[in-house]
Amino acid sequence: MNFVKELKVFITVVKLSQIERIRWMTPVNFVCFSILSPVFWLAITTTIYSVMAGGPISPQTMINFFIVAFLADSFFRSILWGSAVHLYNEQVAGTLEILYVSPVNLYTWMIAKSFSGAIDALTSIAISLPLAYFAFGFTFGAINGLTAILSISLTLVSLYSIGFAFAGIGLIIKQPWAFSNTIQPYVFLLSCIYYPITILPSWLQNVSRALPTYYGYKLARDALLYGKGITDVSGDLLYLTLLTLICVFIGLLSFKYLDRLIRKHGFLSTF
Amino acid sequence: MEFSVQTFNLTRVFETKKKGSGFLGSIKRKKEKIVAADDINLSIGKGELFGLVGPNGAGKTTTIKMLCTLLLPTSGTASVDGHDIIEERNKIREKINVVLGGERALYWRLTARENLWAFSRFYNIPGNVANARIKEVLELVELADRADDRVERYSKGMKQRLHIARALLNDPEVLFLDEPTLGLDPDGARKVRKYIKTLVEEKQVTVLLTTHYMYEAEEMCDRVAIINKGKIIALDTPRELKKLVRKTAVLELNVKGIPDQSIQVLKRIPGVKNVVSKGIPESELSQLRLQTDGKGKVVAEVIESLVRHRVKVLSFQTVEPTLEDVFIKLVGTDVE
Repeated sequence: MNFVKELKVFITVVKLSQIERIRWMTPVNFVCFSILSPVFWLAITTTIYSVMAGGPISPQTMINFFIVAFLADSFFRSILWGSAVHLYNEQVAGTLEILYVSPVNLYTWMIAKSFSGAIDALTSIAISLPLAYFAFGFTFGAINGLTAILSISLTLVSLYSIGFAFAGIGLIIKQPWAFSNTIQPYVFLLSCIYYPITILPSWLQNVSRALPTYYGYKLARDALLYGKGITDVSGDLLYLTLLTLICVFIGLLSFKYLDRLIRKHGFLSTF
Repeated sequence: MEFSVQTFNLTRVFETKKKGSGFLGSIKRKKEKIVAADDINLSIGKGELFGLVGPNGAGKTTTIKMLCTLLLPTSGTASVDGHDIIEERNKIREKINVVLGGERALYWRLTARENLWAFSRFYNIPGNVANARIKEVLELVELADRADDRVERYSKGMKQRLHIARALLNDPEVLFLDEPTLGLDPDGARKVRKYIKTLVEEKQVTVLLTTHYMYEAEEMCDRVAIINKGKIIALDTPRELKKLVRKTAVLELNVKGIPDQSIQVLKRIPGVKNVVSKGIPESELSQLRLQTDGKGKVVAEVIESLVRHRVKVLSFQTVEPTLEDVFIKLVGTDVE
C-alpha cells in the first residue's frame, strides 16, 4: 500500500465532502441540523436525567457522567451511521460505479467519508458544550489527555472497521437507514451511555463487555471526568485493543466477501 | 494482431423473481432467469474502435460492465490488456476508464475542475501532471471556460462531455463508452463523436463503444458486432456487414395515418422482405422502411396498397442500405 497516495485520497475526499456539504447547507439547514437539534436533544435528555437522578450519587456527577457519553456518542454514532449510507448515497447519486471502476482504495475512501461526517459531529459537540456548561453546570474533571486520545482512537478504528461491513450490507439490503435504526437501540442499550453497567443483569454485562463502544464511553469518562492514567485503565485498554483487532479483521473480511457478492449479483447499479 | 480485449464464452445470467398467479401470487414468486449475455466471444485489437450495437436490453451494457469488472460473469471469462477480469481486476482498473452514459455519475455540487481533481487523486496522478491533464481534457471537450461552474448548472450535453473528460484523465489504454451520445441534441452528439475519433486517431486508445444508433456505429467504428437477446449475431466491418443486404433495395416513405393492418398487408406483397414503421417525434407522421428485392413492380404495388388503405403518402425514395437494414434483415425488426 502506498501511504502517500492513500493520504492524498483521504485529504481530497474529506475536503471535497466538506465543500459539497457547505454548498448543500443553507443557513436554515445549518441552524436546524447543526445547532438546534443537538442542543435540544442534550437539553431534553439532561433535564430528564437531573429529575430522575438521586440516591447516593450527586445529580451533578450523574449529569457529567451522561454528558460525556452524549458528546462521545454523537461522534461515534456519526461514524457508524455514515458508514452504512456512504456507498449507498454514491449509488443513488450515480457515482458508485465510476468510483468502483477507478483504482481507488475503497477502505481509504470510506474512512475519509466517515471522518468527514465526524467533523460535522464535532461541530455539533462544540455548539452543545456551552449549553452543557452554562445550563447544566458540566465541567471536565482532571483530564488525562493521553488516555482520552488512545481510547478514542482505538474506538474509532474499531468503528471504522465495523463500518466497512455496514457499508457492504447497506448496498445489499438497499435500506441502510433501516439497518442503522435497527442496530442503534442495541448499541445504546449495551454501551451504557445513560447508566453504569452495574444496572444491567450480569449476563448482559458480559455482552456489553464484548462491544468496543462500551469501552469507548467508559474510557472517555475515565479520561475526561476522573483523570485516570493509562496504568489505571490498562485492563480496559487491553480489552479495547483486542476488540479493535477483532473488529478490523471482521470488517475487512466482511467487506471483501460482500464486495464480491455485490458484483456477483449486480447490486452496484440497482437501488 | 495484438488484442486489447478478448472474451471467452462470456455469459451473464440474472435471476429475477416474477409475481406468480392466483391469490398467493405476491407471496409465491417465481424465479426467472434472464440471459443478458450469452456465450460472447470477441477479440478487439489494440487501437481499434469497436462497436457493439443492438436494441435496448440486448446485453450491451451488461457486457461492458463485466469487462470493466463491475459485474462478475456467470460463466466464461475475458481479458482486458492481458489481465483476467475476475482475478486481476485491480490491474485492469488502472488501465481502463468508462463512460456509462446518462446525466449522473458526476458530483453535481462540485465544479468540473473539482470533479476531475478528485478522480486524478483516485488514479494517483501527481498534482502538477493532474493540473495539466485537467486543463488538456477540459479544452478537448470544450469546457475550459466553464471549468469552475458547478456541474448542477450544466446542460445534459455538457455533463456528457465532462464524463468523457473524466474518462480521459488517466490516459486509459482501453476506453469503454456505453451509449455516449444517448439523449444528446444532434450538435452535442456530433461533438462527442468527434472527440472519440480524435482520441483513437491521435492516441491509439482501444475503444469499445455501445450504441443503438446504427448510423453512429457505421460512421465511427472499424468493426461492429450486432448483439440481440444477449447473442452476437453478426460481426465484421460495416462495409462487409452491408454486403449482407447488397441484393436488397430499400424504400423509405413518410406517411400519415397508417394502421397496423396496412403494415401487415404490405408485408404480404411479393418482393417485400421486411417492413419497419416508426413514428416521427412531435408529429402524426410515420416513417416506413421497406426492404424489397427491387424486382418488378414492387414499388408501385406498395404505393397502390397504401392509397387503397387511405394512407397519405407524403414522400418516398429509394435509399442505399445501411447497417440498420442489416439489423432488420437479421432480427426482423428495427433496432429501436
